[in-house]
Amino acid sequence: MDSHTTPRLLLIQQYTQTDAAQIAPLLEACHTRATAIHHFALQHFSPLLQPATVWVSPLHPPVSQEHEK
Amino acid sequence: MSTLLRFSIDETARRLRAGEFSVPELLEACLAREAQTRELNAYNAIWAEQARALAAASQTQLEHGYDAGPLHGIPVAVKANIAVAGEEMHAGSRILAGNIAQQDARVVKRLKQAGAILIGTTNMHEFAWGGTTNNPHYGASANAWDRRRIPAGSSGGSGVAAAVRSALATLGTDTGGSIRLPASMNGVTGLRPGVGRIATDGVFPLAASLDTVGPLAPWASDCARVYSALTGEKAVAIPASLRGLRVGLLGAYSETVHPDVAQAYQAFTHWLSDAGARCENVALSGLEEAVNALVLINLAEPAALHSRWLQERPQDYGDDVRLLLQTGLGISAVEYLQAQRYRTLLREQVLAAFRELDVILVPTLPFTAPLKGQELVDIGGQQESVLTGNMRFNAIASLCALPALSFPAGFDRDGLPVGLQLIGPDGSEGRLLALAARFQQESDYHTRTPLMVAR
Repeated sequence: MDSHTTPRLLLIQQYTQTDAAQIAPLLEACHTRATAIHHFALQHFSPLLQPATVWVSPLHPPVSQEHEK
Repeated sequence: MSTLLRFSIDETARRLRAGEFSVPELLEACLAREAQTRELNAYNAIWAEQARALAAASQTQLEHGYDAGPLHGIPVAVKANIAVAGEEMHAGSRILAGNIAQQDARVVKRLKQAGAILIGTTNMHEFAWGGTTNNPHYGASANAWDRRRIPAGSSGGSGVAAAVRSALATLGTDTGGSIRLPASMNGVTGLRPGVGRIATDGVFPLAASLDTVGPLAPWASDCARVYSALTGEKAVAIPASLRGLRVGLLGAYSETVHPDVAQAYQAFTHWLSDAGARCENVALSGLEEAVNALVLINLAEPAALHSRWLQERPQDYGDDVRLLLQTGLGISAVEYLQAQRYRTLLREQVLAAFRELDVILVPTLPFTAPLKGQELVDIGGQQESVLTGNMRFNAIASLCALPALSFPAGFDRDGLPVGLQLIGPDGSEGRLLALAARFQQESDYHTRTPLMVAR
């Protein structure tokens, strides 16, 4: 396990038992993806850029729709 | 091939009303087709006796002048993560085995109100987290066109059932491509609606900010009928002309694909141009990060949902899904939120592009159905992982919460279906379906049937 994936493994092991060797390739891939997004964020994200969670929730429909009334 | 199963839902509905065959006869043809294709493992459950009783009642209703509409008497199947009252809803898992749904999902309620006959649940990747439908608890599904190959996933059973016509339409769910992928690999049409367009209550979630539910069927008009039943929206008329239609292409991003996919893509753009549409390249910056953002969100959100089961019952998951869910537990809040901020940036760009465009065209996949167990695909000498390839084009609509439609647009040199994808702005589901229906008036890719059911 590389040093940069160890913190992820420790976090996971707080919640669930996992085989370190088995999960290592996924943690590596996850780390690579997260690092890529982090670098992209440093270069391109404005401080005012809101996460999608701000606009996704209002996209969900009301409990009942007009044609059901 | 049973002649009853050769027709679109509209044509089937017309023939039912003309008395050419009855609802029970149609149902029996579907049940026989399911039995004929059982080795593909498209279904987890078949409710033959209930369906027969409903078919008899449905026929009586038609004969007495009660007509619920185009889906009246039409056999449909739903993915195993969609609740049907009184039936097991296990979402492809051992964790939820024996879980009997107390009430119908809203989509099921609407299908029933529209007169559709539910015949069973379709096999899926465990908890919808995967693209192969290789399910350790309920068996692997096989591709309708070549049983050595994957049917894609996670709605693999829905794609296979629609392709072999053991149901005239199916429902699937799509988070990162789970309707569009099996639609493409099995040669049918599949609609991922915009997020929130169709209520997902009663559908077991994967990643709530991305999840959608939608139809799969050979004809775009079939999907339009189901979509109308699910939403109450009227179907959009098929355009007589494409003159003035503005189609966005993603240039080089769409070009690193298998040559047979490229050929189908080019043929379709020529068809669009010949029909009067204007195709132009659109630049979306940072698109190369789309898969990274989608994967991070699709790791983190399901991990939160499954955290209790991961702690108490990790042994009850299949290895692949357990490891993915556990990986999600190791993502930080900041990493998750940066991926969600990327979505906002991408959606702003795509919505800006839609001020000048009506649709964006991309392949659904860079390749056709891989062999079971295959992890890498060769594209022009470059190795691409099946996981990343699955998401490359599907990530765009998923991240932007926009509607997208995969439709059959050709076959590769091995006789495997090729799908292309139309992405539209918010609320454009009907227009995407109408555009694909227009193409299907002049093409026959969607009507071809796998050899095993053609003989």
